[in-house]
Amino acid sequence: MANKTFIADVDRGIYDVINQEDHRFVADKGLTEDIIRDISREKNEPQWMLEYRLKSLEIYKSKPIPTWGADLSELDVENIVHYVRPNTDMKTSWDDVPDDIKETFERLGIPEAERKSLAGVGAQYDSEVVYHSLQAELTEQGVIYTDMDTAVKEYEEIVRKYFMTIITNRDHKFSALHGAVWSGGSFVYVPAGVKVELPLQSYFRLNAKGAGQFEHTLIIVEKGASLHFIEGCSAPKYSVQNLHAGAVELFVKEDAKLRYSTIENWSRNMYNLNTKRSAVDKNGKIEWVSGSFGSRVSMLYPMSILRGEGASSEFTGITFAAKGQYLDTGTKVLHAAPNTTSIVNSKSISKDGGHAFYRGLLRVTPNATNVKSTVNCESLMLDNRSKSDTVPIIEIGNDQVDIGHEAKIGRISDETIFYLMSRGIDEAEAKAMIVRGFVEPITKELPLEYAVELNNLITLELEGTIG
Amino acid sequence: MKLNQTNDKTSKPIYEVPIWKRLTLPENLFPEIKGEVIEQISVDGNGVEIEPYEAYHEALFKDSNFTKHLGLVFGEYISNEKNHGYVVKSNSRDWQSPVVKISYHMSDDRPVLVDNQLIVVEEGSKLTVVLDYLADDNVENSRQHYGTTRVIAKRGSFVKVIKLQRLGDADAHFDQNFSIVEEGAKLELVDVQFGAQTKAVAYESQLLGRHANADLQSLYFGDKNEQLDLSFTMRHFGAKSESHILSKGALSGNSKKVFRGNLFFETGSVQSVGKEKEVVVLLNDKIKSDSIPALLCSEDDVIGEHAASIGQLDHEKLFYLMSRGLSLEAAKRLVIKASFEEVLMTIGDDGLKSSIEEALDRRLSDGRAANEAREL
Repeated sequence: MANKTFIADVDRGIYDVINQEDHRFVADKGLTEDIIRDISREKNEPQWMLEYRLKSLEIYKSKPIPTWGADLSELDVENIVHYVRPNTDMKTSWDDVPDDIKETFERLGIPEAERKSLAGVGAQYDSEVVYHSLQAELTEQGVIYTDMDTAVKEYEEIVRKYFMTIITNRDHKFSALHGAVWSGGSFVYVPAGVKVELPLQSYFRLNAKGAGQFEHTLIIVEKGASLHFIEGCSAPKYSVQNLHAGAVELFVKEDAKLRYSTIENWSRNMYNLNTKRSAVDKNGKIEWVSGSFGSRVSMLYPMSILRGEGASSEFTGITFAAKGQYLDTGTKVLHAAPNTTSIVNSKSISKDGGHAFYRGLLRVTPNATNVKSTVNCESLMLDNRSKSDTVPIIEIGNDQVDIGHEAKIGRISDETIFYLMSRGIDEAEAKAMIVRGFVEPITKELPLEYAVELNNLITLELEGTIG
Repeated sequence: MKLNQTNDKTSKPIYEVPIWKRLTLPENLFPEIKGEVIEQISVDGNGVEIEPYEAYHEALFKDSNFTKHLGLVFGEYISNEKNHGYVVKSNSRDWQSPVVKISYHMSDDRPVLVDNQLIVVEEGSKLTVVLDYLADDNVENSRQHYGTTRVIAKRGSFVKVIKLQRLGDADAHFDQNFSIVEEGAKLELVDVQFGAQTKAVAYESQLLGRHANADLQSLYFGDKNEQLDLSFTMRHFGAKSESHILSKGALSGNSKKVFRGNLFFETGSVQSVGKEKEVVVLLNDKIKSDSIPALLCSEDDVIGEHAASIGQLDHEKLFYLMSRGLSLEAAKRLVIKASFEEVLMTIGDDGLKSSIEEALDRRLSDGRAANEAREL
């Protein structure tokens, strides 16, 4: 049989640094109404938010744990402390951030990234935003970029109008949990006509043992405006189960454009059960770029609701499942208006016993005529201990559609390697080239520093005798 | 999907109609059987043995190894309540495969058919089986067919099974098919669905040996309020095994279709190839078309592909034909027929092929009548 290509695990190195815990307020384990009231009081929230939290808690308790997809039996939700505030208040200058926190961030390269080209950084340490800045230029344009906790108080009207409207607490158990205990996250409001040239970036980080992360991201891009938002995740490795049940709500108005890029690189004990949705109005465009590398279990299906005529969506995703990982990812596209278009490109790599699962849904409602959509899924398997599954569901409700779908599963073909070797490239480099070529459609969509990070994450090593 | 068995052993078991997520099953399923339907059987060729299917034949084939079926209630009903079925064995080494044709004709006074078929093709032998399900035209009452067909293709054998369903507008058709394909054997399955109000078919083929080969072609035309559930599964165990699924269909009226194509590559199925393709032509805005293709892979050294194309007829093709003097409807019919030809030509038997084409013509003109009525 042909030699197997060996690809090393993503080098986590600096991501698995654990800092000493020091928290002023750690909620009791388990989830009760009192804890929810404590969280809300601590945050000085308006009454309607507290009521929403309590209602969500009620729904959360009544809903069963989903049984499809990943095995969640080892996830002990009751024992996860939902709210952990780090021992620091909001800072506006980098120098004031405590040393150990700063050290972790510095290892992740945040300030450098900011110095270089980024417009603003909102970094989340545990459940509270600790560092935050926004270039003056953006403030002048009327762009609001702040953390959600502040937004609830300072921009209450906007938040109240949009908060938990496309993801509601009735959707599933973890959206209800999120509604009850959400904390932190980013809030971006781009006024009509404003084009934000530089990407906005936010890094989330989990530190405390057994702490869940429930950040809420709310982005509103008004008519004719455009924005690129980057979300990156990383957490140190711990032996206690960790849960991430965040929510991302994106509102793309008429003629507006939003690109939402994510690199998720949680540590290998994380249950990443995140919900992301975007609602796109007339002629608006949403672009998702999504990379899933870390976590033990991921169930993540960013959804595009194309509700305005002429709206479009583009999803580009890569999933890399290594040893012990079950990454159940995909995307949902709902064509709910005429002349809407969508493109889905998904790639997955599985190795060393990893299980990559693409699960997608494309739905065209009866009134959505002249819909065009293509769905492409490609999976690369690097050995036969791994698993790779693809289930893209297509539901069509009228005849004025043009839908194309293709999916492929396979390994690196011997012919391709032979061809490259016949051109004077050695076997190791040939295989490396093919894998880089496989993920290239994703890396080219990412900003430079992320593309470099991605290429570093996938280091190739080769095994096997030649000849 | 639970089977309620009463304690009293003399009374009949109660079959509860299951609830399906994507199709609405009629309530009058699993009726009591009254008499046998009219059947015809003919054999053309040598080396074929045929005997009626009896309960003890069940030991020859383990249904429980197959997971993609219509559901346990259907399985129980079909094996408990059977009123028809044969065991067809072939050890024919003739150059031309012997052909066994079995046709069932349902009518108002004999409205229920439950058949169990077992097809066993010995090492290196050949066999073609045609199963034709028919019903009287223009009757309002619902006729129902339930059936299980089991195929064992032994080493190096060639088996072809053609299933035709041409029931009436109010009828129901539930058909499940399990196949075992051994080393070097080739299995060809052809499924044609041109009638019935509610129809669900499930095929699962297990490619157990090296170089096992299975090919499934499906053709359907959905019209009026018809509901169609197609489930095609290929499970690769053997090394270098190969499978193809091709489903072609057209949906008109208020019809609804669910396509499920599953390709499983189990560990050990190295260098296997599995491909599935679905082509759907949509002819009316009231249709509903669901596709659930799945590739489930536990072996890296394989090629698995699926493709789907769902949309309207190519406008340029229609334009060209119309520029040559054809009406829009005639042009549509011609393009659909040409698209179906790919599957029809694999049937081989000319008489059978032309009778299918006739049924297709009739369906397409029905569609035309409906379209014209809608435009008025």
